[in-house]
Amino acid sequence: MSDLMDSALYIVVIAFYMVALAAVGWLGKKKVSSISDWYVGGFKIGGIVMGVAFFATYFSAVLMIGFAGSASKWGMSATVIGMWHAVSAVIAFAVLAPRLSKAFRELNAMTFSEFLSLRYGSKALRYASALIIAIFIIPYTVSAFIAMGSAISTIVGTPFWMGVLVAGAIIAVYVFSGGLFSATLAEFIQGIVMTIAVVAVWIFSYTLLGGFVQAHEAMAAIDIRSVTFPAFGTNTWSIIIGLTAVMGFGMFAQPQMVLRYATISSKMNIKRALLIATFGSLLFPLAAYSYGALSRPILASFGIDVMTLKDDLIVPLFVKTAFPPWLSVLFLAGIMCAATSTIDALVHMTAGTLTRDLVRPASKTMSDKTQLRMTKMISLILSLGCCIIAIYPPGLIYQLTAYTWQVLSSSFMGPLVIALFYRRANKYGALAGLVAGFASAQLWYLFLAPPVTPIYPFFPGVAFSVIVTYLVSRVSSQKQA
Amino acid sequence: MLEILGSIAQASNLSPIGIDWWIILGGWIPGFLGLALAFVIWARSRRDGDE
Repeated sequence: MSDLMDSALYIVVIAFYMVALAAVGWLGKKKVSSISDWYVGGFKIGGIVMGVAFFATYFSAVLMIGFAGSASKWGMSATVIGMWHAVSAVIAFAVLAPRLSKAFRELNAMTFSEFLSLRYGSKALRYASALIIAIFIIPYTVSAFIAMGSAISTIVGTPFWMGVLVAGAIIAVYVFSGGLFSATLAEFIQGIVMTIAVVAVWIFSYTLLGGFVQAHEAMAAIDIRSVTFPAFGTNTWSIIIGLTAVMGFGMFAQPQMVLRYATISSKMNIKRALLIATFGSLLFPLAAYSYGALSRPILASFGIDVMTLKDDLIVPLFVKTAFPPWLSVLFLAGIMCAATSTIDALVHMTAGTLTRDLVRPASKTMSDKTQLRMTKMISLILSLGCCIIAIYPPGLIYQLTAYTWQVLSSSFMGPLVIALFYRRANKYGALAGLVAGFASAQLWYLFLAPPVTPIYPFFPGVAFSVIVTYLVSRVSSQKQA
Repeated sequence: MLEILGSIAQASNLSPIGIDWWIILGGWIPGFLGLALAFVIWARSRRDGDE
């Protein structure tokens, strides 16, 4: 009877959430009067909303379920990955955002690929970057669907595929209607709910273990490596260092994140967004990685050894085993918010890129109205397609996410960053940097990625991307002169 | 309890809160410094009326 009541409560929460987001979609739809409104919110989105939307997009259920589950095996050293997100948020908003938002506005760019194409005057760059986005953003979207599906199925007790389809339906409702307006407004609400949920679980975990210091002592009693930094060159060491760089600094060149910090309305709003985004980027991952690590001694007290479990199943099991019903409901709401706030950004950005950068150039007579209609249809098809792939999961959540982030940042870091800081950067340099970054990351991934060496493909990928973009631009501009 | 204390004593790098100093110095300190910097940038832009 109690299980039946719990399930009914969860279903009410999910239904309420869907109705609330449908309302957000409707509100966003009223604000969309032009194609620029759908793509970039007419460059009118405020600092507070964008600050919360930034970290709501940055962190998803992938962190709450996948990375936190892995952190139960890595221990408290995983919090190092999270804390560096705050540093990268400061750099993104203080250094990149002012230049990027100015450049986006001056060029009237509406997608990441369009920005690169207009900045460098190269159609090839537009097609190449759009293709990379279209192909490689899918594994990341799928991983967010998997996280939400596994959370709903374990907590509510429904089949996995049902959880995934619920996520798809929620996204389709509001991204379809209001584009970036709806997405950021929804992300603002989602960001607040998911932060409350994660912080509540964090505090609850410490309370359950008897306090802050006592909790760390309990972890040390099970395995001293849970509270120490991993030894140089070990597998855990390369994961912690690699993910700190990939998830922290790789963020700069993620197209969905660029659209967030390039479309704010004014300088003051950039500073407001900076403060809020940094606070969220510190608190959210610190809480998530901490409760992940703390789940090990808590589950051990229930006779469960996390080292024998698949990473993605640890947090859902933690919720099911140790949480009181109110916290399970709150956590489920947080998971739904975290998953949908990231998926909506990915779907919005990819659908926009596919239509504006790949389909529209092929059809020269396409009107803005047709383009908008097509983008909405593609966002629906994309949501459904990723749902179907997620039902048959291809790998661990954190591995899928880390792979996507490495490919995207290796391909785009050079062309993006050099475009902002080097006046003589040109299309030859950008194209060469994109190809060199992409190819070197792929080759490293195939032959030299951990455990063969302790170095993630991100490092050579980004290094090649930046250095080749700069050097080729410099040499080719001298030849032209 | 003795077992807990024994295992903690083996690890010389542990801080008073029971976590390795390397975790605090390599992650927590940079994170909080980042937050402090964000606050300073925001406060200065408010003072300068940066619009």
